[in-house]
Amino acid sequence: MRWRELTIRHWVVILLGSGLIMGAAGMFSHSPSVTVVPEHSTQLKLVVRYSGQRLGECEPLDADALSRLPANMRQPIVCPREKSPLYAELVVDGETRVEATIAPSGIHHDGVIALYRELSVPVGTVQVTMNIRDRADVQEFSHVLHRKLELDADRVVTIHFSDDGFRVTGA
Amino acid sequence: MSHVRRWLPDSWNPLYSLGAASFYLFWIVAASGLYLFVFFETSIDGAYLSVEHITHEQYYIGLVMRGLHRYASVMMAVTVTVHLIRELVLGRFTGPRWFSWVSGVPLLWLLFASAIGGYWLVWDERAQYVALVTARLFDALPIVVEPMAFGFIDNATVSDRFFTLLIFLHVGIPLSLLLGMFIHIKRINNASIFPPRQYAAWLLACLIVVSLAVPATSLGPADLDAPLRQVEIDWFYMNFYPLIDQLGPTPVWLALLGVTGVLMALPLMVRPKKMPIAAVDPDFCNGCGWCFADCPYEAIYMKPHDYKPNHEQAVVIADSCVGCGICAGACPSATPFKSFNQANSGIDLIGTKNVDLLSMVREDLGAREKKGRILVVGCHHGVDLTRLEEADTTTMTLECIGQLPPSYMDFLCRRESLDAVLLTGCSEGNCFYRLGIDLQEQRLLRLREPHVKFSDVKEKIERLWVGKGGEEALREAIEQIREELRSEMA
Ligand code: HEM
Repeated sequence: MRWRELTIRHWVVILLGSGLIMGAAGMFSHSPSVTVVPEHSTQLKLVVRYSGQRLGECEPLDADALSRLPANMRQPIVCPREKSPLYAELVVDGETRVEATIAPSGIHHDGVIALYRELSVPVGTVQVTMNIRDRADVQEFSHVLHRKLELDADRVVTIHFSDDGFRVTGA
Repeated sequence: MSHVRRWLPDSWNPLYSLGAASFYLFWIVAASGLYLFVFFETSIDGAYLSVEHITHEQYYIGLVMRGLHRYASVMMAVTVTVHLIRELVLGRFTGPRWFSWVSGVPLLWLLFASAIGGYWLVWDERAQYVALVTARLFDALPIVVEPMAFGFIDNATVSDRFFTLLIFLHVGIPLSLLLGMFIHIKRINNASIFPPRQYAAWLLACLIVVSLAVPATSLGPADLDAPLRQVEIDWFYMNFYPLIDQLGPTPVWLALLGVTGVLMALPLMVRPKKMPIAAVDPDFCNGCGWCFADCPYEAIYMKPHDYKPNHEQAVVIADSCVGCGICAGACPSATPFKSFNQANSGIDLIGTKNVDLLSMVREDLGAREKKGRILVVGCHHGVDLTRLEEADTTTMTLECIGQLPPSYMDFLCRRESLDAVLLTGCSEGNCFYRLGIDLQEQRLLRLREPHVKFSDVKEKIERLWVGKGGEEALREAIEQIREELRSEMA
């Protein structure tokens, strides 16, 4: 087919069709937009990265037990590998926003305990409480953060919990 | 369909070249991507600033290149998706076509991963959104030890090295896509991987126009220390991202894997319609290899002949044969001239032998008045030809128009004094078996063996590729042939 064989009718269809398709491409490649964090709110990130507590106690080995081990594995103390799951809850202005029990990573549950959460919270002054229980067999919370935070509309607040305890950034 | 053709020529019909357009768009994306890559800087600030520089400070060249990169990708999402739907609707995913179908599915993942990775590189607010939501998606996988999101907690956690990784992925994934595309057409002979030229040129022009009219720009620079408010996203590729935010990652994973699983399993779930496949008759196969060259699905190979010394013989791979019969149309042994009773093809469809169809047509012609007789030959995928039969018009319906040996036309016109032949079938560029129309055209134009021998016969053959909706057009064409014959006789 040559260019000049195209009739007016063809050109009308080609122009309309191309306009429609290309218009849609131009349009839907960037709109409508999505709202991530609503106005008058900011984002609160929760970052837990914690080594965890071992479930059992470490025990010393007696000389007899030691001698039965290969020479390169004779450690005087044996520790169980498995760690306790960690319970974490975050309460913002009296409302429980996060409640999670996190198992330590790894098939033997001996790895790091990690949790990441994002939530939207209203800006202004909020009362934040974060409770951590790092041993499932103990009722009391092992770590508690109780703090009034000044939240700013254009700052993300992050609550970190690690082996060093709590740290809050952005507020 | 003829009423469509009146509005749009077949070579311009985007539905007829979706796979080819996808390849073509890929090359446009690759070429413009190479340009962007030259100026892109792999560092936190450099990433954003270098893309801004390309967009605003290169006398529109960078802007157009970026636009081509974005809009050709967007169009590729469209062509690939419609290509999938079309193959599905036409039922071209069962039987021997399973390979093209199943190898097509992973291309969707690679395409989406390529595009989303591209948006990530720019490190603007859209990239920030991509980072946070992608992390959420992957962090839902049970194998994750440390959440991916830990890499994007605040500005301090992102490092320059991350951009080296991103660019590596954004080159690597598209390269795997390209490899996958070639595997995808591996079992297809002579796959059409370039759209008709005018259409291709027009498509490129359109992409340049959109690139200028709706410039592909960045949003504000990413700032992980500030909350993201409104983000303009690409709905062609990130359409499922808001769902990850709304419903959580698990239902989205289930949906993605579910759809992929169903698509992959489709060839197993739907039994193909039993089609007679081709078989070789070694007595009549002279090893010319024309069927081997013409088979659209690479279902034929050549081996040393079973018993004729220094000859080859065609072999049909039953699992790859779709039963189009194009091989039978390519067989020179089919010629009825040697002796009609010996007109056995070296290769033919099991059950419906070409020579039997020819006998029927001869009988039919014999019963008609020997003046102004017209034969219409078509296929099962076009107009129902029986509706066109009249006193002077007889018809022959094949599986594909490529199944017709050109020697039949020579024979019927010369020996049976047939006055005119009208060939029809699918619409141009849209042959159900991909190559039937093109091959038959080449045989008529004597560009390909076997071809029509006699010039006077060649003059008697008309073609009209109109597809299913073309009954009216065929009637008109037949009427016109009648008039011509009448005026010749007068
Ligand atoms: C990057 C993405 C893709 C590209 C570039 C592509 C390209 C192509 C091309 C060039 C052909 C040959 C067409 C012809 O010569 O007639 C083809 C055939 C085919 N494609 Fe794709 N394709 C893609 C994705 C897909 C997907 C996602 C599916 C479905 C899951 C699919 C299913 C098929 C099938 C079933 C055929 C065979 C048609 C037949 O046997 O007649 N393709 N593709």
